[in-house]
Amino acid sequence: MAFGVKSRDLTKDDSTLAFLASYAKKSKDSIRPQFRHGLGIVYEIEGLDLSVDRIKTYEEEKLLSIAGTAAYPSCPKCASLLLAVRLNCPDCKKTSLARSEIMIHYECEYSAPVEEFVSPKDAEYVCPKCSKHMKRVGIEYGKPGIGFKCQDCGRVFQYPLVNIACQGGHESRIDEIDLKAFPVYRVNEEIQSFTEVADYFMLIQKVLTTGMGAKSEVLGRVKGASGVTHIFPLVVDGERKVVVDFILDESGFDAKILQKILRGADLKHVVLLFVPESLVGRLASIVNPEKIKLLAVSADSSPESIAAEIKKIVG
Amino acid sequence: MAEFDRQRVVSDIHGVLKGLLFTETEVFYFHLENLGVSRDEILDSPDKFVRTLRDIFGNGSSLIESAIIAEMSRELNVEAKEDLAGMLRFLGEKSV
Repeated sequence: MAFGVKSRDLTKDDSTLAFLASYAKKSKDSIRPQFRHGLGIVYEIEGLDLSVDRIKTYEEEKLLSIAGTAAYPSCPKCASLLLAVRLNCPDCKKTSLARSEIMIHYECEYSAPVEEFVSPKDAEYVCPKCSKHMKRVGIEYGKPGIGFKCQDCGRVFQYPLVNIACQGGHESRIDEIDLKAFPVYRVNEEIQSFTEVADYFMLIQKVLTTGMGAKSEVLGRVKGASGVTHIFPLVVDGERKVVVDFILDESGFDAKILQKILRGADLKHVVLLFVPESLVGRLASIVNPEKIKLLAVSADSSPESIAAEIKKIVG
Repeated sequence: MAEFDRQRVVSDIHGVLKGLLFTETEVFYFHLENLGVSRDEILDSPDKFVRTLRDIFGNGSSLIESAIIAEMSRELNVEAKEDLAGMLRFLGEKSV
């Protein structure tokens, strides 16, 4: 095939390899887990959020290696990662707290938010408990700093109880919280040769854009009926949208073609599948020609000739 | 008489599917379940499962069918049946 790259694994999808190789070329950073509200933990590669299950498949297929771990706090009862901090009154345990600057009247030892000491009639502070006027800070009254007042039981305190509540309604003390570790990944070096594939599709894209005025995207994303976002080496928009995929060589033929058929079944669009000449006959009896159009490519196929074939189908 | 652990048999079948479908396995389960076959009920509805495979993969279904037959035969040391539905029916009867 024109890319000059040999598929090294029997079953891995060639487009996935190109996708990861392209990422590895642009970024040397490790792929870290990220928490997204509504999604949980995801791994972002090339702007795409991959689920933990999906990235685990990449790991199992030796496309990625574990480079470390990142821990996220989780509920000890249900393992949920969607946690919220709750501040509770240390006495009555309720959550109706007000945060404010605290003032204390030394003589009667009454403490409360500073607002309660402000008298509407006098310029001086007045103790709401004993009604004495307070003039001298440090002698008659003090301001120990920020604190909390419980609106339910009236207790004033500096340090509330810190509890963690999960979306399932479980409440835990902070020392009870579990840590859930997620792997941090890096792209394995041996698949980085697939960068050439992405580069080759860039050349085709250039011809399509400049020579033929067709809009296209390298490593384009298309959402399937299943909700899974598929990544294709090239997605071309024309009178109809066409996604371009490829099979590099005969290794792992069964797995690769099944993956291509399944992707095709998940999409509304026509899939244009580049394959080596030697596979065309075998594939023609397997794929639905209305859904997957085969295009034989060889080491001599130029980006121009391939772009022309794509344009014919896109219209 | 039961010879196999049903859960293990189903899990082996999932293993074959994952080995072939790689990252697209979740897409397959979506379409399988959308067509009325739960992933855990493969042994309960073998004919429906095979029909669904054919709906999704067309002529490519034979690749999966033969892979599952070969793998289950090797893994469980049983004689391979001619067709997948027959193989699954046999395994279903022999499993608890």
